[in-house]
Formats: sequence, structure tokens, C-alpha cells
Amino acid sequence: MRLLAIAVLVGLCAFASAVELVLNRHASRKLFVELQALRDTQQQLDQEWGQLLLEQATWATHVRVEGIAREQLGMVTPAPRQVVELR
Amino acid sequence: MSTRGRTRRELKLRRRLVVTGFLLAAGALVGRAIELQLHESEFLQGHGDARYLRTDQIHANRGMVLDRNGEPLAISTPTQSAWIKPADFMTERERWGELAKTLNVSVAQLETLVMPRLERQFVYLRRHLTPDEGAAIRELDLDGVGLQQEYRRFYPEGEVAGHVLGFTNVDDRGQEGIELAFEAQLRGQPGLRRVIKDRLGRVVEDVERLHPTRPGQDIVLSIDERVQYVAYRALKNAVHAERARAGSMVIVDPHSGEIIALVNQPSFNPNNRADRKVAHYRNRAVTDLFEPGSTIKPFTVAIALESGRYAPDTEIETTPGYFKVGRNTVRDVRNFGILDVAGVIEKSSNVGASKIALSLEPETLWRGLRSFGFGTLTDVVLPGETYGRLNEYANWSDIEHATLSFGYGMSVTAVQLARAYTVLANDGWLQPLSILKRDEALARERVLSAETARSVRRMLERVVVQGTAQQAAVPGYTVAGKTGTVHKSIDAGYAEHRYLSLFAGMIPAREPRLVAITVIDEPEGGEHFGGRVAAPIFASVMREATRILNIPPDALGEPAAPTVWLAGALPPGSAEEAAP
Repeated sequence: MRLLAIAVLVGLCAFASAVELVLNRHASRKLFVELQALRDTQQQLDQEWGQLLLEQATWATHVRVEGIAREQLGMVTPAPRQVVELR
Repeated sequence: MSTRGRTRRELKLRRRLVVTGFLLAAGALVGRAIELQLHESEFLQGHGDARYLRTDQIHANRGMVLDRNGEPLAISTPTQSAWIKPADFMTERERWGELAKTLNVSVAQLETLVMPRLERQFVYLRRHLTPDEGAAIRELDLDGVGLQQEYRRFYPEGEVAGHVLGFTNVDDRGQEGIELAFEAQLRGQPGLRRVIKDRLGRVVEDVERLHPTRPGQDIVLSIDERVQYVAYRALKNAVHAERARAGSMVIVDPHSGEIIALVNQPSFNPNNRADRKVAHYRNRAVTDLFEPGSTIKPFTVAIALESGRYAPDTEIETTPGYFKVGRNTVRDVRNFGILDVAGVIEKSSNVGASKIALSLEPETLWRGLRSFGFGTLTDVVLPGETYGRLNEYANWSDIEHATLSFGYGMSVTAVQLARAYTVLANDGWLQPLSILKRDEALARERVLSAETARSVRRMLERVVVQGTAQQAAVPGYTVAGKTGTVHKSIDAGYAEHRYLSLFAGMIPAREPRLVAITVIDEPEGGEHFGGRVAAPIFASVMREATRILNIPPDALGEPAAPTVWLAGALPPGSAEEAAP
């Protein structure tokens, strides 16, 4: 009788462990999919950041800034005699 | 136990039962195996292929190149490349026209690409598509045409820093300049992982990491991109205006040895692969040798002063403006009469310099020049740097001994000359140059007493105030410098009408913050003197560089009728202005 009880108990445990395994496996898949999605997002953001840096650098090239400053805004470099040094 | 009660018959029956059971089970297995092989093999094969273990590469980004203020000079961004699998692509023949139109090629061109490669599995159709092309190809959705993510290098400043940065090839590997010199650091280590992918190539399960991803390191240069631009623009304009063959300019911070700007003409745009001609992407400031001419005289004089046999006011007879050394003659442009040592520099007298040099032992002169770094590398880690030439003194003839004093018979690179001038600017310390931003000072070596360095600087200041380099003057600042006009050496001696115009300068002269070397190769705009061609470039670059780098003026003098242009500044003569 005791032997049977032990056998049933072990059987139940094995079943529970099998169910647990399946659940864990499922959870791990889900987490992996999530991780994968986050990695994709990270990569996309990295790329976007690179592109934005590039865009910023392109807008800020000296040729462009100088052209706008001189031609559109009519800016000039002050002559040395126009500079007052504050001490 | 209870076995005693059981009969042999009972046991026999049990054994038969067990054996039969096993046989049945085995038979079922074999039957199932046969069934799988014969009836379901195709389905299972497909399934096996679909769920397959693969190794997957994880891309590692190439590091950025930044200037000293963190402005990006080279960035990798993703682009797409189109590839084809010829066998599948052949099934779409009737739609080739659409693809050809998207890529702006003819169907015939597609055929010449595909036909000879029918047995191949993978052929690049076009690399580095524009985003529009990529989208259009995805839209077409042809069989056997695929897109693949790749990375392309962009250089926002284009031509301005082309020679410093170099470029990468289509596979993102460094080919020239910084990209080549620092390939190992810039390049990332792509990671490897083993994954299970489904039929559509999606990663289902990460099995293991075989190799971690290590992204490339960023490289921070000593270049100040703003000064680089100013130098680039000035040099380009000058080379164009003088109809010169080429030009270089190197600007160095004498205290740290950091290169603030390095430009060459002709230049190239590293973004544009078609634009690259070998002659254009040579970094002349580092690779090209030239005879330094009169720009060596300050060093001859420094060596003479160090020897203790000369003082700045020691007089030297240069009459009648030429003198014979063996069978050769050393000439000045005219007869300068009696000059002191400072006057030899100011007037740039070859006769004076030769007489000083001949009074020194060859070994003293050689060791002196060597100690300024001539004939040695500057440690600026750029590909192709050359040593220059400074012959061993044991084999010098008298004329060689004399001409070295005014820079003939030896050869240097622009960066070498720049480093030598940093010794004068830096009160006698020699240190390696650097193209990378330096956090700490490097080992430096005293090669000149501070007193001699200062005294030579004062002489060089006179060159700009009243000598050959008056066009190097920068309003508001003291400037020191030396011009050079060198006959180019050709196979048979020296060319009569082909010159190199040089100017080596430093600003402010009293406490130099910048040292600059300007080289213009074969100016043909009517002028060829270093003081007329190269010195004005120095002045125009320094006017802006001093402002950009916030170098305070040290010689403002009396500003005539100042215009107050700073917001909130007070008009001249108001009460507050007089207050300290």
C-alpha cells in the first residue's frame, strides 16, 4: 500500500514537472521573442541615431553655415579695429 | 518471499507474454520507420530543413571618427544592397524590364550580369542602394531578388578632411588615412550565435553565443574641424589663385604636439568613390618630401647660439653678396653688407647662414638638425609617412655643409618641419606629434635651452614686422615666422623657374599657441616668393583660427575709432568703461 502511494506520488510529481517544463518553455519562448523585438528596436534606434547625427552634421557643415551667414544674414567678421577687448 | 507459491507454468506464461510484447513493439517501430521513409519523407524533410540550427552573424558597428570637440567626421549608417539568385531570377524574365528601370540600367546589362553566373547561388546586383531604390525593389517583390543590410561610411565634411580621414572600401574596411591606420580599433568584432531559424528565416531560439559582439571603438582626433575648414578653404583658394600644382598646410598646437588641422590640395571627396584619383588622395603633408630652403635658417642659428660661439648681435660680413665654397658659389639676392645673426634671419641671407654653418663642426650641425627631428618620423600615425633625408656628416663636402644651413641638400615633410618649429615655439622641448586628441602630455625631450628658443623667436618676429614675411602679419597679434622660396630639384640639378613657396609661422610670437607650415608647390600666378605666396595664407587662416580657438590678442595697440559690436557693450568714453 505504501509502495503504491509512493508510486502515485512520484507519478504526480513527474506529471507536474512535465507541465512545469512546458510552461517554462513557453515562457522562455515568449521572453525570447520579446528580447528579439527589443534588440530590433535597439538596432533601429541606433541606426536612426546615426542617421540623425549624419543629418545634423550635414546641416551644420561650415560651407553651408558660412554661406547662410554671409549671404542671407549679411554677417561679416569684425575688423580688428572694431574689436574692443574687455579686461 | 511469495515466489515459492508460483508454479513454473505461471512463470513461463509471463515470459512469453513479455517477449511477445517486445516483439510487437519492435515490429511497430520498424513499421513506423518504413512508413515515415516511404510515405512522409518529403513532408518531414521539409520540416527538418525549416527548423534548422544555424550560426548567425551579429553585425558590429564600425566606430565613429570624431574631431576634438566631438563633432562626427566619419559615421557608418546602414544601407541596403540588392542581390540575386540567378536560378530563381530566371523565372521572372518577363519582369526584368521593371527591375532594370528601377536601377536605371538596360535589360541587356542585367543579362550580361546574370547569364555567365547562372550556376551561382548569390550575385550582388547593386551595393549600397539609395533608400528609394531599396523601397522600389522591395515593392517589385521579384523571385530571386533579395535585399541585404550593409553599412556605408559617410563623411559629413566631405573634402575638408579627406586626407586625414582617408576612406573605407565597399566592404567597410579602411583603405587610407585614419580609417586605415586605426582599422583595428575602428573595426568591430562581429558576434556569432547559434540559433534555430524557422522557414522564413526568423530566429526562433537562441541556442548559444559562440562569440560576443564587440562594436568598434570611436576615435577622437586632435583635429579641430572648424580650423580644418578655415585652412582648407584658404589653401584651396590660394592654390587656385596661384595656379599651383599642389599645396599643404599643417597647424600644430606646440604645447601638446596635437595636429589641429592638416589639409592638402588637390583634395578629394571621400564620400564619392568615383572621385578618387590616386594623385588626389595622397596625403602630401605626410608623404611628400621637399627641400626646406630658408625655413631651416632659424635652426642653423639656434645651433650656432647653443654652441656659445654666437650671440644674436654677433656680426657677420656678407659682402659682396656671394662667396665661393670650393668650386661652387653661394649667393644672396643682393649684397646685405654686415649683418648680425638676427639680420641673417630677417634678410634671409644665404651667405650669412653658410658662414655661420662653416664655422661650426659638421658633427655639431648634424647633431643639432637631427635633434630637431629632421630625418626621423614624427610619430603622427598616418599611413605613408616618410623619414626625409639628412645625410650623415662624415660624408659631407664643404658645399654640402654650407648649403644645409639654408636648407638645400636635405629633405623634410611638412609635418616634420612643423614639429621642428614647435621646438622653437615650445621653449626648446621636442615631442612627438599626434593626430589623436591627447589627454596627458607625452614624454618630451629638451633639445634647446629656453633662452635660445626665445631669442630665435624674437628674430622670427622681426622677419614678420620688418623682414620678408610682412604679409604674414595678423592684426592684433604678434607673429613670428620664416619664409622660404625653394628651387625645385630636378634630375639635373635645380629647375630655374619651378619653385616651392614656404612659410613657417607661429602665433602669438611671445607665447605661441599655434604653429603652422604652409607649402605651395609651383605657384605660377606671377609670384613665387614664400613671403608673397605662402605667408598671406598663414595670415588669413590665423585671423580666423585665433578667433575660433579664443586666443587672446596680445598686440591690440590703439584701436582707431572702435565700433562697439558686442551686445550690451558700452560706447567708448562712457564712465563705466574707465573703471577697472
